[in-house]
Amino acid sequence: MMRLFYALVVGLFLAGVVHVGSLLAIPSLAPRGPYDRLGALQADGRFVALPDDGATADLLAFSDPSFVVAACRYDLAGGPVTVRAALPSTYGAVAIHERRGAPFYALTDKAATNGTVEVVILRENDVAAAEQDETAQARPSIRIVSPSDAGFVLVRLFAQAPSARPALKTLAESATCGRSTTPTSNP
Amino acid sequence: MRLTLLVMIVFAVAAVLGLGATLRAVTHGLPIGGLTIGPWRADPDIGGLGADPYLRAGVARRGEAPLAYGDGVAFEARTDDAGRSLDAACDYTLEGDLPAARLWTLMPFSPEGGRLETALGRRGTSSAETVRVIGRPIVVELSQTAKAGDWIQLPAKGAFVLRLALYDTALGTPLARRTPPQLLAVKRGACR
Repeated sequence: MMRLFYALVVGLFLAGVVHVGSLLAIPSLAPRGPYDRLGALQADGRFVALPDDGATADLLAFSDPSFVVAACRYDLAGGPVTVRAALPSTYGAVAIHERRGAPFYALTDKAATNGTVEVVILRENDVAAAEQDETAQARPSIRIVSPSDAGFVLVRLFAQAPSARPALKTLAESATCGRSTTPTSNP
Repeated sequence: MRLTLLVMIVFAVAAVLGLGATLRAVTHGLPIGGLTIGPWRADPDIGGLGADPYLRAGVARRGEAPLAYGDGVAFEARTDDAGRSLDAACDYTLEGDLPAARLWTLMPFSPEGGRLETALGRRGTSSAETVRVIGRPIVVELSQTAKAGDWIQLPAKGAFVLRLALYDTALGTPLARRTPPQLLAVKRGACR
C-alpha cells in the first residue's frame, strides 16, 4: 500500500514535469500558428491584404473585422528588412511579430512623419554593421532587433465604414517590406 | 511483476495529469492573472515579449496575432453578467461607459475566433459607428431580430464570444491595471 502511495507521489511529480515540458514545446510544435497560417497568402517579402470573405477570411483568429489588415512575412537570413507603410490618421498601426506570433514592436499613425513610418528590422549580429553605415540622413531610421530570424509584419488600418475598405486595402498593400538596400558609399 | 505495475501507474498518472493540465490551460486560459472586469477578461501582457508561457501557448494554438502593447487591449467575454454562457438564441443588451481610448470596436466571434455569418453581413460596431446621446451611457443591442438603436445581428444559433478592443489606451499599463475601470455590462434579455 505504501509503495502505491509512493508511486502516485512520483507520478504527480512527473506530471508537473510533463505539463511544463509540453507547455513550453507547444509554440514550436503548433502546426497552425499565426506565421504558418499566413503562408497561405503568398506574402513572403511583400504585403498582401487578408481577404474579407471566403474560406481564408478567418486566416488569423479573432482578427478585428473593422480593420483592413495586410501581412508580410520576413526572413532576416539575407540581411535586414525595411518596412515602409503609409498610415492614415483615422487610425493605422504597424505591428511586428516574431516567428511564434508574439508582437515585439508596434507603431501607430501618431509616430508617422508625412503620413508614413519606416522601420528597419535586423538581427542582433547586424546591429553593429548597421550603426557603422550610419550617414547623415534627413530623418534617423528606427532599428528594431528581431528575436527570431523569421517573423511577420501586420499593417492594420481602421475602416470607419465598409465603403472605405477598398481604398484602404490598396493603401495597405502599397506598404513594402523588402530587403534593405545597403547604402552605397558616395565619395 | 508488482514493480512493473507500479512503474506503469507512475507513467500513466504523469501523462494523463500533465497533458490534461496543459490542454485545459491552453484552451481555457489560466483562471488567475490578466485583467478581469465583470465578464470581460484581457491579458495585456500578451502584447509583448514578456508574455508568460501560458499566453504564448494560447497564441500558437488559436492562431491569433495578438494586439501589441502600444497598439491596444482586447477584452473577451464568454458569459453575461450572471455567468451564463453567451448564446445566439438570446437577446443581450450591453450598457455602460468605456475608459478613454482613441478608438474601440465591439464584435461577436465564434468560440474559435472565426467570423459569424449573419443575414445582414454587418460584423460589429465601433466608436465611429455607434450613436451617443449626451449624458447617457453607450447602449448596444445584440439580437437575431432588428432592434431600435445600435444593433448587432447574431447568427441563427450557437455559442459566441464577444470581443471588445480598445485602441491607443493606457488601460494595459500596470498603474491602470491596479484600478480597473468599468466596462460594458452584459445583460441577457429574452431567449427563443
